[in-house]
Amino acid sequence: MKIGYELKHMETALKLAKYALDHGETPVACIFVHEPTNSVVAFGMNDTNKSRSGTSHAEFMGIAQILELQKKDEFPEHAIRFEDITLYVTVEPCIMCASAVQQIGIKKVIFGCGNDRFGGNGSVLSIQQDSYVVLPGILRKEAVLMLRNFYVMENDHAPEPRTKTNRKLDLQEFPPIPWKNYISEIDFKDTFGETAYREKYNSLEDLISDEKDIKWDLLEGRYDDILEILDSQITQKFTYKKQCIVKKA
Amino acid sequence: MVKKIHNPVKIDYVNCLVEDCLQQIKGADSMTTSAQPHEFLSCWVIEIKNKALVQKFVRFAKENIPSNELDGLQNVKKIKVENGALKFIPCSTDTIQTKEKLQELIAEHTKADANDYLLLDQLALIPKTSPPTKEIALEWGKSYWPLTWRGNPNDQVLNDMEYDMVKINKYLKEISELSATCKNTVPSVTIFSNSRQNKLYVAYDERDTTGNPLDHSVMCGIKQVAENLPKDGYLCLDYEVFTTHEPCAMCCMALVHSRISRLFYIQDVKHTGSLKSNYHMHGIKSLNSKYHVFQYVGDKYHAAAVEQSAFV
Repeated sequence: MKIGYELKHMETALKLAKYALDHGETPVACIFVHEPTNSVVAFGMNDTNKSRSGTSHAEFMGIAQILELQKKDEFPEHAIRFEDITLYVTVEPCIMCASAVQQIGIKKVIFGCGNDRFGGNGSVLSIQQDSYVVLPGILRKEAVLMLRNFYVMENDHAPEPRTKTNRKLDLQEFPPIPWKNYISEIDFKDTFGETAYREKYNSLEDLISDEKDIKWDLLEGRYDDILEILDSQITQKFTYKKQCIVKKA
Repeated sequence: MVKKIHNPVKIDYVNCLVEDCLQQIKGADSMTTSAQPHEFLSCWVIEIKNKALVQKFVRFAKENIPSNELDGLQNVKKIKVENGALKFIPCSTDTIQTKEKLQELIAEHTKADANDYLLLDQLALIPKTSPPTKEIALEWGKSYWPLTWRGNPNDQVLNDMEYDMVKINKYLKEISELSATCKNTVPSVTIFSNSRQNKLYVAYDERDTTGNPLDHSVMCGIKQVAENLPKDGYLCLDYEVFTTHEPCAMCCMALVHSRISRLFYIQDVKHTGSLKSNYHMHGIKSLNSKYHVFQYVGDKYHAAAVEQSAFV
């Protein structure tokens, strides 16, 4: 399997989603990774509740950050370019975000679970077509469980909460993943290998079959310092970049 | 709600044209009103042998079957005569899942016995979608189950809508004039109007000034509504949108998320427009919200030219 850094980056995105969940938002989050340097340059979380706007999705927050970075870059010719960025998002981008990603010029999107109702990368429409590559199913079970966590919590605010035993978080059942909606057979083989292709692609199964392999710490941990960590990583990256450019000059 | 013939608004139901200048643009879901139904409800069939009990069975289905899905399909006839036999559909197999359970209910509420009726093993497939024309309704009746033709449901949709032509003309004129004098690279102009709350916002394409290629006039308008939203407000509910150019996929979906009720636009954008030119995004079945779309096809108002490959 040619999957390496992808897991690490998706873990970061899921920690952000957990942060959003712990702070009253829908647990959908994303990070933007600059491929040439394999570093995070921006991140986003869903903000629809706070902003009271149906369009404040995680992707928009990150795109705005990158535009800001480009604008204030002292060396515009070395500013980061969208075509060098891979978007990691815990849930398949909705049609609106899938189109925004296309228009802004991002070339690769990696997501956890599909978005049956609004998904723009294969679930409802396939906006990406010839403009960018899509890789689905990375830490999918964790992404699904994160959303289930949210729905269980939401029910707690319902006027007449049912007893907790009735709606225990379902930890074992996962819906099938229709791989072919998101990724071609060839690309799947190329990414996950022949064995995974034979075992998973047509049987609509997750990459991870053993429950023990689910990264439970992402669902149970608190990541209250994740924003500071990411902010400092990004600042460091740009300080370093500046040093390199100055040195070269 | 007025009867079609009493409606003072001039509506051409065949061509879906209102007041000779507003062309209804169909959503993706109604594009598929094909000659074939695309969803079915599978129903139990009772052959009623004792014809005196017909009324009793009809009442039984109406009163004794809770949350009967068939009630939602008003154009489906409940009874048909086939080769002299009287066949009746009480409910779907989702509503009552087993033959035994249905028989139990029948016995309890109608007191009918095996001499009076027969619960058939063969189920009936009832089209869940409406046929587009009377001819097709008749055809479906023969292949599946008889339907009553109550007219094209879209006629009712067009008839029930309000058309304040003074307001519509005023806003179309305004965006058309603003677009003509606008110096932006993408000269699109959008008005968000909420008559109930007396709110009106005019939005321009801001990508030249902000440097953000996603700041289309529709997105900027949604932002304005959100920023000025009253405490009890909800997104763009009750808003109507008037815009010069057919919006791109991002904007069309943003309007779905924002729950607008209706959109009017003037000019098509062939490559990227996502209402008429591509996707028909205002009416995709799986999305949780839809809106109505009309294109102004009169000759009074125009939109400034844009590149057909630009995202508006």
